[in-house]
Amino acid sequence: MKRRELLKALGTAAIAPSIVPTIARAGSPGIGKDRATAEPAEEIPSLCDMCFWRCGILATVRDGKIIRIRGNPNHPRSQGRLCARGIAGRYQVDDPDRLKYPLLRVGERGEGKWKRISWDEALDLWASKIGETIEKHGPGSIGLFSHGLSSRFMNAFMLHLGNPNRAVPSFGQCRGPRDIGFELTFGDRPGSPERHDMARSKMIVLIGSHIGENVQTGQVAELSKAIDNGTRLVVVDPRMSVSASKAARWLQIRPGTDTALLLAWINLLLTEELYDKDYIDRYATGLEELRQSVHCYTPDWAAETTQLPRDAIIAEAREMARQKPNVLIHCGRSSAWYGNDTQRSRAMAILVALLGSWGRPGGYYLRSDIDLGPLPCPKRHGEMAESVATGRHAFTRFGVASQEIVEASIGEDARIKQWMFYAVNPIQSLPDPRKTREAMQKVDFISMVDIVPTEGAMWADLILPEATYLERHDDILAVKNHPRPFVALRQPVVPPRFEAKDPYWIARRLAHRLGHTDCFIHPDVKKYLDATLAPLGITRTELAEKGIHLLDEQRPFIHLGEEIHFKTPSGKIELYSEVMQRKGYHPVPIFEPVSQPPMGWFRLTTGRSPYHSFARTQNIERLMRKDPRNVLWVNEEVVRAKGLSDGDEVFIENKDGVRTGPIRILATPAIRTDVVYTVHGFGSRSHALKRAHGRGISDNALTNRFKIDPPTGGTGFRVNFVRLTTRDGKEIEGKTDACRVERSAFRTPLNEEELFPAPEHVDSPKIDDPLCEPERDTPEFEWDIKDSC
Amino acid sequence: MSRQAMIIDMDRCVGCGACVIACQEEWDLPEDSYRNWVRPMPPSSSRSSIMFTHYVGLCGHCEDAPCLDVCPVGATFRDNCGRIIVDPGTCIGCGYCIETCPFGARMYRKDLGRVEKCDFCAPKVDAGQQPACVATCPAGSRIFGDLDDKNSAVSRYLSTHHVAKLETDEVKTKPNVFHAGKKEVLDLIFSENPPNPQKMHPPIEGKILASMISPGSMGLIGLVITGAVISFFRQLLKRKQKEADAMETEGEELSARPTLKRHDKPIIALHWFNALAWLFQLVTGIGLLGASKYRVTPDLVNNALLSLFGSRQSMLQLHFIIGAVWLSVLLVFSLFCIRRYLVPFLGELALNRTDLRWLWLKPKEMFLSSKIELPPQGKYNAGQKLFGIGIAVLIVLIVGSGLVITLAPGSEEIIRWAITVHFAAVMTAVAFLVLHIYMTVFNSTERPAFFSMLSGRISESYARKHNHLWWEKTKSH
Repeated sequence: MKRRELLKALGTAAIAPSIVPTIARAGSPGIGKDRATAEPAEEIPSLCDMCFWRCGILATVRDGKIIRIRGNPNHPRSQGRLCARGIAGRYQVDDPDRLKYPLLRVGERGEGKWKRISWDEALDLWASKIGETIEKHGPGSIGLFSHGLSSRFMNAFMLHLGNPNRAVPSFGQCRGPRDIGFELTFGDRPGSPERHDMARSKMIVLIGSHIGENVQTGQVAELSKAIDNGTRLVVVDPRMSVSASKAARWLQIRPGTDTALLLAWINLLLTEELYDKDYIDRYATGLEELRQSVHCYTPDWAAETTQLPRDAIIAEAREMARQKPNVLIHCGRSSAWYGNDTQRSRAMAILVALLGSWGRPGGYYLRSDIDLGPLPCPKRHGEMAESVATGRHAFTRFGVASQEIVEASIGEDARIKQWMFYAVNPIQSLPDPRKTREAMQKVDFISMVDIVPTEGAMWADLILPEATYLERHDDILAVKNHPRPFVALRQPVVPPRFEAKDPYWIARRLAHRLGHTDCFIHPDVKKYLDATLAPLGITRTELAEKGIHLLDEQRPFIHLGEEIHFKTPSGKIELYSEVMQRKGYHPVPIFEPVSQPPMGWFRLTTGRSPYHSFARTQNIERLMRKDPRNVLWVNEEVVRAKGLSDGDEVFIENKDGVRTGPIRILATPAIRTDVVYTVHGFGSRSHALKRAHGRGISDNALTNRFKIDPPTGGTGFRVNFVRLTTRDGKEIEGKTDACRVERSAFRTPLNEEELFPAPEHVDSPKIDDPLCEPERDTPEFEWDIKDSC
Repeated sequence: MSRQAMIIDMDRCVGCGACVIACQEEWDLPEDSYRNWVRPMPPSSSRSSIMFTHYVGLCGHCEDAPCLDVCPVGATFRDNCGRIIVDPGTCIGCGYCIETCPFGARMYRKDLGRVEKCDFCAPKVDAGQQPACVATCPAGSRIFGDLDDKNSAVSRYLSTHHVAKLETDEVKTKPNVFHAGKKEVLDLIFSENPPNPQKMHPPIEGKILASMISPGSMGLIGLVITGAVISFFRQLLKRKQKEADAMETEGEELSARPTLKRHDKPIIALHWFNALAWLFQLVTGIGLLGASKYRVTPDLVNNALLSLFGSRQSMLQLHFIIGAVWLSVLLVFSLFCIRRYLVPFLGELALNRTDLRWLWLKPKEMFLSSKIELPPQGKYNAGQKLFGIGIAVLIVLIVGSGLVITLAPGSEEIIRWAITVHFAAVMTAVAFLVLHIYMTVFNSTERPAFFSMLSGRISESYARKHNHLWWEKTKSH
């Protein structure tokens, strides 16, 4: 018995009345220690949803409340480990600001005023609005934005209705261009989680990827193993990230020139004949076309373009060749950067191919196959409605590009009349929120299924509260991207609070109200999951016990010499892509210069914080306390030039006059003078999110401009230039590094030649082709580079 | 016996903070409480070298832990696994340990009024699990185990890696948490996050407390007691000379002589209840002063007390309980007897001009010449009045500070001052009590007063002589 409890007992019995309440307050509701030694509460396995990695979790539940979440040791990827967000996931359930009941808008759009209605009213209204719109304008007049495991339900239903106008921001605003670049090369995407075999790599090259600040548990674990193994880590980033700090070499590249570096590496591997010949001869096609196309991209040219040391470029290419095929050219994830992203991704994929590391240890695994049950809605037999993106972006997947729906909702001949959101916050995920808001004022009806009132939700007419990931069943997670493929179950560890419902329930009721009773034939999600799992010979109940079901091991690597059929048109790795040629894109990646910021301006780049997932975690105080607002990385030289220093505040303004701030400066030597960097996801303007509201600044508000990646329709975000002004009007001026040809890389070994000698059989590449006139970067405004030197 | 230790591999660590959240969740810590920390050190212009690393830390469970010596109640101890643990049942939240830790590894829990610190997840580890931070670390950068076990994870790691301790020339506490990694990384982390040498010196209230417990002040108390004993023997000698005179006041003749009622039964009961409670509080109080720095008795006595009560926690609990019982009895008594006892009692305590004169003459009478005529006194003589007033003030101080310590009002500094006040007041009260007991038990002239506290009555002649004014008043009624 504790002292205070004793006192409490005594206090109630004898002590003067005035003391009693004080003592009662001092009495604590059981400290952690008691909790740990008490009888173990129930531990329920499920899957995390604090980010897209979907680690296995074990939720400790007592008296209907989650008291703790830890990693599920049986999960092959996360192996019992969880990141900060995953551990803090239970606060999503208890978020006082979460959506509790169906809500109907009563104020203006954007005002954020609603009234509570019943689910019956909500579903009736929703179905009638959708029915009306389809009747008047056809099924193609509804735009669906969706995200997450269970987005399959809504998408399947839209497909069933014949609606192609569905957008998945995780494609166009994130990994789409990367996926397509690899798909066009290998006939397969890197997938999610990516099929990297980091632990066995002898060399890892990160291009813009900042693992560590960007935390996915399994990936961090593997990087750490690689570092332990002495793997050579090379990081290409204009800013010193945590990974760059650990790297053997940090290549502080000029933004927008990654493709130049990749093409120069490809060229080096080809001219010095360092590529994996057996592998390429057997499995690849288009080598000669590639050779022809890249021969102009010499190290000297790349050095000038990327502003990296020529010797470093050469040395790393030779090191890659030495370590091949156990080299991982990490494909990154977010790849919607500059609008030339599929080509950059193609260049990456080609480099992977030349190093022979696709399907090889230390490179990429091959994908396993998992057969699951049928879609929840039968395929439509009739014609699909016309896509709003017909004729554009041949390689968009999962529907159409997000901005196509936005564009098609504005103007006299707007074809999209109604928007549906499933777990998407359009204001903080789509570029140019001004345009998004404009479109949201135009459309007839906006419905939104979510768990919290995001900034995007402020604009919705009808809000439907979804159960959080700890309260719902989602669709089965089938992980094909692992040497040991497995299926995993997300299941409710506590019942949904308030009137929140699971996604199957919501989709089924909508479909049935619209008369499509052939969809979602299973009365509840549990029966559906049983049917989905049936081909694997297990039931949901069996899966629920451990949360994970390992499937038979499939061979993750190629044995050199065996026949492999790649899922490309030619059946081979396509260094030259016929299909791209046919669709009007460069069949072999070329370097297309991107605009560089004019004098005085900075390029706005963004990244991640280990405590936050995009704009989704800022209302969780546990996490917010650790990382309450974003700061702006600015080069110390340009900061000092104006007499400012670390910690001072500035306002950020973009080319279109959008101004946000103040934001604190992190004055650092470890970022280029023409780039600023901040963490994405802060600065929510939703008043309904009391903790997230107004903390930090929203980088997304500054993304008025974006550049479309033609093959995928992805939107490059990193083309926004900003200027920085202080409260009293001082302006920090960015300095383009046009004059600086070489920039010394961090921790460059002193004697390059000694460490990375050229192979004996060739000289260093020298190109005397008069046709090689490398293209120059194009500045945003007309100004003479020389003038500023 | 074992020696648990942790290594943080900074080559692996990416600073994701999973360890901090895992720890907070494991131990239900409120948002502003931490047992461990990850402080980002981005490449800033203010840094000596350019890298992006983190200062990852927790309690070092140091071999030479300064926190071990400063706990006034001995709540901080090293267990048999080498871990430094705070017993939550004993901790009174004074925060001396917080003030002492050069790493800032301890913090005050406002909500619980006690100190929070890492215990290497002792309950989990004892149950065969890993500490929460180790179990969740995505990078596997935390290595935990027993240094004395050759096969433990830490021992195996140490056999192949070089590790460093966060120590400076000024602060060498031999922590059992080590950092590993590239030298330049550790150099930067250590140089920017040095242990705070200031922390090794106690705050002012601690210095006062320590000085009170210093040998000098203890000697002073000894001196007072010795003086009392000497005086007693002097009295003994005197008594032989004045036996006849003394006969007048002897107790055995009390029944034969006319007596006056001096004390009601409840008052007598209260007095002896008081005496018992104080004795008990004194004994448990002495036993609680466990840390080497604050020990007032030899180890033998301390250990005897510890074994008598079983643990410090039970000693502390009893101290609180008896304190609470005593206080409530006193309060209830005063409350129900305001008219009957409290108000008259307080009235009788008021000092007047004759009292001052009495106070001036009494010592002369006692020690120099018994022939001095003392001015007439009321129910209580001036000495007793002064004693009563003093004790009343001390009770307020002791009770007040005791309540502050017990209820932990949300600031460790207040608690620390309360301890100092508590201790100082108790010391003074002890001095008063020595005088009180000496006067009544050993001093022959005052002895009838002692017996009156047993029988409630006093001989009329004694009263006439010593409490003349009261005698007159009683007679006239």
